[in-house]
Amino acid sequence: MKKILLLFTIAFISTIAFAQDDSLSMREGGHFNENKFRQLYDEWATPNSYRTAAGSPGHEYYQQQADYTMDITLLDGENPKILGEETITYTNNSPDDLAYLWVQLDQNIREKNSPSKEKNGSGVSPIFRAESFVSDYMKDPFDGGFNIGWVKDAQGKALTYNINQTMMRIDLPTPLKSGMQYTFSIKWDYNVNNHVTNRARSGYEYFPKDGNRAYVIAQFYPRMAVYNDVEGWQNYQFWGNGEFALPFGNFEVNITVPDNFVLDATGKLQNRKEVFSKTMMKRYELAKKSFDKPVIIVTQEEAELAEKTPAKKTKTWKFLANNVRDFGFATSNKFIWDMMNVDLGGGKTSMAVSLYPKEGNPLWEEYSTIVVASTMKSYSKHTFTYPYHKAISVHAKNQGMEYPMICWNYGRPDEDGNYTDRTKFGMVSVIIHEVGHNFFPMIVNSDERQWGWMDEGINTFVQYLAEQEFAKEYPKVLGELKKYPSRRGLAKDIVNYMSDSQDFLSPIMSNPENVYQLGPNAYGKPATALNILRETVMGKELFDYAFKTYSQRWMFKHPTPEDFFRTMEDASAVDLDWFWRGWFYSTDYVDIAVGKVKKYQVTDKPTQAAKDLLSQYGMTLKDIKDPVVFMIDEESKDFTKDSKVEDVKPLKDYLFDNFTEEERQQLNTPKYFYEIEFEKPGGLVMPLIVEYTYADNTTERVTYPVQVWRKNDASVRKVIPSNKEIIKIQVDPDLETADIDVTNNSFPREKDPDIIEFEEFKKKQ
Amino acid sequence: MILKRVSIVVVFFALVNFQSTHKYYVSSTKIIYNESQHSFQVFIDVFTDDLQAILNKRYGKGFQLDPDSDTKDIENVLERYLKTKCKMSINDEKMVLDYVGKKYDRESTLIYMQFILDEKIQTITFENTILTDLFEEQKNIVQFKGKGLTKSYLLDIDKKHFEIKF
Ligand SMILES: [Zn+2]
Repeated sequence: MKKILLLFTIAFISTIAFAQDDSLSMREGGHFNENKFRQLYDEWATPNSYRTAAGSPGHEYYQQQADYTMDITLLDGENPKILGEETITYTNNSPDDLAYLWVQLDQNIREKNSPSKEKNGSGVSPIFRAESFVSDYMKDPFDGGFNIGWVKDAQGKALTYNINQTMMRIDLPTPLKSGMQYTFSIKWDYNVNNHVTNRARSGYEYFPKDGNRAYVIAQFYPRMAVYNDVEGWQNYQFWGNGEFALPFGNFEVNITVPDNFVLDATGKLQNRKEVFSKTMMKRYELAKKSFDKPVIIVTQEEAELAEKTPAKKTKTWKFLANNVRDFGFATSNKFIWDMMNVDLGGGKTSMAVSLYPKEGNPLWEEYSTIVVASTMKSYSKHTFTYPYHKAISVHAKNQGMEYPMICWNYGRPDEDGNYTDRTKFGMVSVIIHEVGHNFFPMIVNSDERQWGWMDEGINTFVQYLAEQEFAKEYPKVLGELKKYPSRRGLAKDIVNYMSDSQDFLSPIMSNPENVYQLGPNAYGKPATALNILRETVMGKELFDYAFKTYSQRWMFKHPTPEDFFRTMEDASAVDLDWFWRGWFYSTDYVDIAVGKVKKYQVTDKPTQAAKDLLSQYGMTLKDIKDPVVFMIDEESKDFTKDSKVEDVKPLKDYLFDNFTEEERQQLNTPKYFYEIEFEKPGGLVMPLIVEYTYADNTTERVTYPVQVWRKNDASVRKVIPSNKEIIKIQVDPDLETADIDVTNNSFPREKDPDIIEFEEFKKKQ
Repeated sequence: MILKRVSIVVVFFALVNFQSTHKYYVSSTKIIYNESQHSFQVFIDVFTDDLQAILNKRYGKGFQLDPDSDTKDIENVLERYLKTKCKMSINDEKMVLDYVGKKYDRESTLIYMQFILDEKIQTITFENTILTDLFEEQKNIVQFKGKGLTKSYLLDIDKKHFEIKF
């Protein structure tokens, strides 16, 4: 069949000549390379000895280190306050001498006069809720931000410093030489905000019924900024959307809280016997042996007693954390506490831990810790074995925020303890997401301030896999559903966003402060792009190996977007420059359509079209010595219903002259020849997935490689020789490419699926 | 962190409180004009939590928008709410959209409405102010598809409607 096909396609290929415009009265200008498949050299930095072209750390790769010892005191009460003294030992592993150090003061975003409060434009609204009117125009704003007591060197000598919004420059008496360390201390305090009314990432929630507070505390201490080979000192202020960039280091932290509070934090608890009761110690030992269900360390009854018992003294909780980029803690007299151990394989175990006020029950005691455990396992499978000794999920109203080993999560039943499926799945999903952030960006430590998608998008992608895996492990969570109702990940769920007006879209490769719709931009679209890459473009095996390579290469290091892009290509031998350019650097969308479909027949009668073609080259039929056949299309008057390929004389001669009887039996004799035009109104190039349905209702699925678009971005034609008549052609039959207009995906055209859905819905009413 | 809702930053929004994790609220509406059947089909995708909150605020307490606790009352107040928030005019004449029904999908409620008009369409005006009475920062994205045209519009408390002329 191959040989015969070759012969016929001569005619098809040459028809392209007709399409060319021969009126060259005006000479066209030239153009730059705008091919969708051109390499990304113009967007990417030149590889060097810090970061290689392969996407791995180079032989001179370095990163700075910041070690902290801190004494922290939380003053609970109507106007809660945190006091701290910290000593930072900064190691300059860079080849450069540093004249000054930059420290981040994230709390300053809450200062009365913070410019971030004026970062958006505003207008007088025609309507105001009274509540907003009062808080906007009548109330004193909250008195937030760091008060810096002093900054001293290791000898206790005051250092000069300069505060610019959320960043503080420490002026060094002499430059910090490459390879040297510098130690200095800061004394500070700040007023803790209510995170529920202020919608902040950190703060307290007030429970008016019992008058207590639950604290989830983070970015609460002056933190070292990142200095590296791509940015120098990080100099992008904290404006609220772009999150954090932090160096790794070791933390020794003592936290003093009222003695009726329990507390958990980043790091290993050093004085468990001092702060745990005997009963708690016993239960903790049991929890270490429990691999299938959580063991309660502080029961609801005990927590309810603690919230009624006023504190007499204080208690100090001591932690040690190695190789973390940050430190967070949660504390309250309201917390119930449970834990279980998790077997991560290869002799590695880690504790799954939950802290929640009684307001979270009965949902939290049932799901939180098992979700933490399942998340650790899923993520470990797709990246690297979870390296920390625990992961804690803390329940805080409206929160979804992550720190090393600890995160805050929403999901609260109503006052009677009832909850909807929406609340349950929302809670399970947010726990998977925030625990997952331990991998991205806590360990694969990308710069969140610059690139939201590198942690949010990549994490949301793995979250999708982990959600599906959790439901397989605990089918009970599904109730009557067949699969976990993931909100983001499937191609069809990003279609709405990708088809929005271009006025409100930004490329993924944008700073989080500057995008129009951060949710779909930094979470949904990159997660979906990676899912499409895995399922449709690369295949699971190639993708998973490359993705693991990226995770392991950059574990406990600072990758850039290019390090990710390069590694995915380098470890898979799939050139993906076209994919990154389209999905990450542009706001183009997928729209591929079935255009004209022509049916042909083969004949020995010369056609006018063939004669015209030859005459363009100054030839006639007589000039061609080899036997030829001709294609006539359906519309032609010579088209006959039941012509047989084997009866066309020149072909018959050719077959008898070149093949034995036995060989001829093996040959295919297609009856129909289709020329199908696929059009591409969308800017993105994608593999062309087509399902052909034949008259006998059998189907055939063909995936044409994305490269079909490389010479013509607007349309491409394909010839299908077939024994059976084609009755239907469908592009992207499984909706796996995020094609934004599926009404043009079929031949013959089918009804708009939205209209079908509407009609079916209406029938059911 | 997690963004619970689709968030959108647009420079012309009304005054809102200062927040470090700034959230904006977005619903999405699709209007399909089916020329052969002279019908307009309207799909509204809105966050169930927000919809529940506004129905409870406006029409009394206790509505639970959940497949397990759905009542005729909810349908009635929802229909009432939609009549005040979604308005359509064709050829400068006010039309009443028929409420067909709703279904729940993950965190969203999908609302189906329709309208049939056997007349030559010259202009369409569509107003959508859903949830702007709950959040001043609410944005409603509306996409129109039909007569060979696909266009989207961003509506909010200031810009309440759009008009298409054929
Ligand atoms: Zn996140």
